[in-house]
Amino acid sequence: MLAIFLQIVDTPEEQTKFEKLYHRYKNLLFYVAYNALEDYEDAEDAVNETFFRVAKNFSKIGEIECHETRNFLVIIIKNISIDLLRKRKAFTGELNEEQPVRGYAGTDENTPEKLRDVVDVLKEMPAKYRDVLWLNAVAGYRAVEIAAFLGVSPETIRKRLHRGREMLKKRLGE
Amino acid sequence: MERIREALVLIYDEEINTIEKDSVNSPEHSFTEEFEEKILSYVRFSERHYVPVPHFRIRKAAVIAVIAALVMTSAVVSIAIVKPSVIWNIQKKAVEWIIEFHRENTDSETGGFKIRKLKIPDGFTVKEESRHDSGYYVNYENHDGKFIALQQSVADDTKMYLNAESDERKTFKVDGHDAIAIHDEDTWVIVWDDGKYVYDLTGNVSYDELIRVIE
Repeated sequence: MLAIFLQIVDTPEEQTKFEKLYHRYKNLLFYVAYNALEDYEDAEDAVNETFFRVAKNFSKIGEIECHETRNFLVIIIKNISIDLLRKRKAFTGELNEEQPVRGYAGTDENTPEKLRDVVDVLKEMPAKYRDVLWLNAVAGYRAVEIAAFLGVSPETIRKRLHRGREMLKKRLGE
Repeated sequence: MERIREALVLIYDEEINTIEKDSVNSPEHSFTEEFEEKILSYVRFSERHYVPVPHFRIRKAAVIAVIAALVMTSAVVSIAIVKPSVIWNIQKKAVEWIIEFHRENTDSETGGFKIRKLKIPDGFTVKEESRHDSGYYVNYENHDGKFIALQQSVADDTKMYLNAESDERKTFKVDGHDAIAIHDEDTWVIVWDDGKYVYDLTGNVSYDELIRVIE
């Protein structure tokens, strides 16, 4: 699988970086996909699609060993997994995209005081709005770039950004 | 905005730290051979996507060849000058329409990228603007949270996605060229071409207000 992805990446330097990225995160991404999809084949598809989209836009990827890159990949594969769940004809349950952030039980004494109100609002926000806010505000991607990574139209991304910001504005006034 | 950014970093770092710890403790997966076969189809797609297919050169060469044949067999040759036009290839899927645009009759074209002027209502100011060789994007907002955004692109190799599940859709003409308007929840999207560029105008204003922007 790695050799095929390397055909998409342009320069020898980028090939080496892509190889490192692949080896560093493939297991984490498979874990995330499998937890969502509960099917080995679908999870492999999700991992494949994630690295394919990353390879097509590889010049926009920063350092490999940093939380930003790691979190970016997890967000992408999570959204791809949700798309795959939707496409499953037999799927009748509710999607997880509206549920609160996993592993985060709310603000506690470790949450900086100045961020507690913002964290609460973001935690209650649907993941599809929160994800694009992260991709825009933290990772610095524009709507057209986010659209390419998530496989939706730029106008969908702009709408999600707008709605996320509206929720924050309504609750926090900023 | 900085507080929001810091909060997002905090939330996602904590969540994904937890996920990563759990993943380290789970068995490592060996990817299957069938998986490899699926990837081949994606690679071919990426090669078609990356290799610039010279549509214009092939079409131009074919046109020149036909004209040369006519000159050789006929004493009188007339060449009709036609206006450039844009072909819409619409794939209608269950949840979205995918529109691929392609230009024809571009031989008489001159000049670089020209940004279309809009009649923006009072109270709206530019919030975001970006331009490159084949595209331009601008987003206007007012104090009431209304926005109007325009994406202008050279028609070739441009692809747009429209929500097929929307409750209202109109087809009409802008300056004699095809246009589609789609109402999606609180947003109107208008897509049209002018023979060279394709435009995607989106806004959470009324349909009449959005149409006035382009008239």
